[in-house]
Amino acid sequence: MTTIQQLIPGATALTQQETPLRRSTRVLKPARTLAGATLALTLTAGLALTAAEVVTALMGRPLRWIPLDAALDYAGHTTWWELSFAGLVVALLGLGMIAMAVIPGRMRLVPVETTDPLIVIGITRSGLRRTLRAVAQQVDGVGRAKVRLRRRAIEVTVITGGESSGSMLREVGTAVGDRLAGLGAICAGEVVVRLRRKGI
Amino acid sequence: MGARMRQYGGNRVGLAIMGVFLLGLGVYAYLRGQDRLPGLNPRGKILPGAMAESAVAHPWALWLLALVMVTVALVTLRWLLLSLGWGRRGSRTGTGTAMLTVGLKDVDGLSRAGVRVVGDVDRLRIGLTCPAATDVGMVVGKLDREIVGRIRREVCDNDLGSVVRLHVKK
Repeated sequence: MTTIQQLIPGATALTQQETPLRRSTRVLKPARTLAGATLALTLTAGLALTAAEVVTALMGRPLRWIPLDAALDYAGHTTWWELSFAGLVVALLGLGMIAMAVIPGRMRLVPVETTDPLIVIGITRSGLRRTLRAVAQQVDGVGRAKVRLRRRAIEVTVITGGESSGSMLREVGTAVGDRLAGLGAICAGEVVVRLRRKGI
Repeated sequence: MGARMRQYGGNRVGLAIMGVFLLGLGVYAYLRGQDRLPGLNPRGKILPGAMAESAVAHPWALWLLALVMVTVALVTLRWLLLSLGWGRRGSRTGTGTAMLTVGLKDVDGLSRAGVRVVGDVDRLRIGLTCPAATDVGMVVGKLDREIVGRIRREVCDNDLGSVVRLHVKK
């Protein structure tokens, strides 16, 4: 079999230029399983039942599982003018489906940088939150910590006792940053550390 | 490699096809109802009497319609099964799982470690859960540099794409 690399000189080099983020996005982007399965189930059930209804009606013994007669009667008495705004709703629904198909969506797994282009590693969002929280809680003086993964930043809220200092916040920021760097997580943005004292 | 290392795209294709169909239908219904389509009466019935009579006069058309619906229903049934994971989950490989756990024997509390070969040896899927105290960076480094490559060489083709899902438990 002829591959694209054989057909186009330099295609191998082009493939190799793919960034880890791009590669991970291609593999880890959401598959739209819920929407796809719901639509596929609706279509399968609707088409199969309608076909069964049509065939049994042609054979003279209609099943009457779905109100096909009522639907045909409605279509025979309704004009296009009466349904024009319902048409808009249907068009919007279609537009929504196209948007779901085209927009990549937020990845369930946070991609991690790898040296091998054939390996894609992703860590669950809850897993990343937990590991960063564990690191933040190891810093002296931190009672509890909460981690939020925002679109452009990782927000770490540390809850401390009465006495706390700016250096502790810096330590938390450094520890979280080090863990992120060690992990090689490809998530954009900076680490924001917030302080909350107990009882406030 | 590129074709293999890709998320399942069937749902997006199905959504796009249905989206285009519904968009076309909706726009047609709106334009026709608002008398924006020249030569087509907005007060016309959705199912004209002539069409109903023609269908009664030619029952083979209804048989054909039923056949088309059954065919499309079979296609959507296949889509439903694929979207629910049929043929995409793969089968577990004991050798791979053993190599994974041996490679990460230094990590305490490792759970749900598993290696699956997806399809007809198309891709490796590796799943792993470790405790919060684990140095996840070290685990990722080991997976990237040693373990996954070793499993790949042992279980299947060395050029195979591998996807690792890492989770951290409480």
